[in-house]
Amino acid sequence: MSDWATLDLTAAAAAIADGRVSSVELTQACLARIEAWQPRTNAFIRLDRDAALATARDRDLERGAGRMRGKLHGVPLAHKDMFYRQGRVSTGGSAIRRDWIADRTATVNTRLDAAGAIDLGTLNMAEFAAGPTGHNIHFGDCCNPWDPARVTGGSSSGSAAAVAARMIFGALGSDTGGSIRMPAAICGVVGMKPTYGRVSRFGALPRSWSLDHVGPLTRSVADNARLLQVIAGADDDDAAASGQAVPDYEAMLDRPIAGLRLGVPQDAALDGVDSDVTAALAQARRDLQQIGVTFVDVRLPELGALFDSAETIIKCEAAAMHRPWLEARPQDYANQVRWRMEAGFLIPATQYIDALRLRTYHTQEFIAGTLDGIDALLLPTMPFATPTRAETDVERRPGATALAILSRFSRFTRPFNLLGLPALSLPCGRDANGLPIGLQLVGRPFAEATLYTIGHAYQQATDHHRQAPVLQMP
Amino acid sequence: MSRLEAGAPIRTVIDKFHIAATLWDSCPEEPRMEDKARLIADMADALQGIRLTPARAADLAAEVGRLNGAVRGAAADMLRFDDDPAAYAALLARSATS
Repeated sequence: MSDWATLDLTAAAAAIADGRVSSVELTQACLARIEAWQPRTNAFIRLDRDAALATARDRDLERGAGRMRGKLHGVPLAHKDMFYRQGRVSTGGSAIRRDWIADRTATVNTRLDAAGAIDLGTLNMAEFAAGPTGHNIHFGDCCNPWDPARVTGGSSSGSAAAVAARMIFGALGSDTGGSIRMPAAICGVVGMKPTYGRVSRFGALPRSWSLDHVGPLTRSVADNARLLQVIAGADDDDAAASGQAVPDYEAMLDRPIAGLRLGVPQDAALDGVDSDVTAALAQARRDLQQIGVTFVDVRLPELGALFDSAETIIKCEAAAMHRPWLEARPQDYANQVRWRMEAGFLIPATQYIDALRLRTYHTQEFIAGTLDGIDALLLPTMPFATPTRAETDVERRPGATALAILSRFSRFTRPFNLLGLPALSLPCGRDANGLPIGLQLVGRPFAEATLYTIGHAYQQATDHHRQAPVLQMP
Repeated sequence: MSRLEAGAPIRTVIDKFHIAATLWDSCPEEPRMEDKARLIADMADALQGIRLTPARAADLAAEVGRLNGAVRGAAADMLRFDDDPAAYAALLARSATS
């Protein structure tokens, strides 16, 4: 094998289990990719080279002794710099926490460790997970591996860039308004925002307690299913973590999809979506029809109403948690991060509570209305072709144009944070500039397995997920 | 006598906000943006200890006014007395499917 790092996560795990490759060799392959790609992408905030190699040696010794920890034994991963490890710095992409040492370990990290994963380091992200583009004034912008002049999407920018460039086999991100799905779409990888409560948030930096979702970014749907399998499930440390049984997602990937019904919104709901995106979605629809999926026209509710409730909740919760720092160290925030929260101080508590109460109403209506009679909904992840970092840089070049672009990023993602429904983004084409385009599948509560089954079948029939950026030397 | 009746003394800053908020909602003519911005600046200072520039107060007045109006309108149309925010988790669990 010329470059072990180009394997999928599941193939890499199988190669270790079979003894075809060692964890040390896989880790070294990833480190070589990181050395080559980091200058172009700035995907990593911290690289734990020595610790990762030491853990890899331990995993190889364990395997030699016949002890395999779990489904990720010896597989190198890295995660958005917001999943705490007790005793280690966790920056949250911020200046304020640049040197903050975590006092607990995130449940997801504990579960990944138990499954045998190697942790290579921490990945770039938007400051305090607030921002849809991948800009970061404290640690430097994360750059798209397909074209470093263009945004990665955010806030899980480093997660998407590192997986796309094959620096790691998979990564965790968080999604409060689209922060897993948007960068996944823009960088050409698979991103799952699971159902609210499917994955514990304990030990993950909060952005908005009511809307935060933790999920995986990977190269394939099968890889994603494996990672979600490991991290999902009830957690005594997170009261919002659901006790719903976790299905065997991988075992359900190959279920027949003939006869499954996908809803597509009527044309008016997609007004203003770029032609590159609508063309890619139309082709994906034809590809899915070829493999037996049936399409049904559905009516979307007014997404603006969902957006307004979500915005109200996120602003109030963020303002409450950031108040001490906003008062004492306002200069240590990027302007756009501080601006996003300030309105939360001026929204009455009654409005906040009503937004939370409306969440139930909207979710009930969506399940009973839009999702009635269908297995999932097909939407674009992003409504437009990937913009450049310069034209969306509201910090260095503030102005109405940049703000107008930013306001459109999460048009098709944020509503599903309010509803808490599972949503999977996967690559389905390229725009005129050669940047990936993503489609989004939205399902019923806890129906991640259905989304994976559809996505996996689509990836068996297409090769968009096999396309990777090429490193061009200056 | 109601505090909102003509001639009533404005005793506290909270009174002032009650009056302004009521006027904001019920005034037949849309209040001027500069009045909204001044109100937001006063609220930020008095209730949260935040000093805003006039320009920032104007931005926030627009943002907060829009969000509050949207949520208040939706709540009036859709919510009932017994609607409990915690019903959301129960709804997800009840609707679970694989």
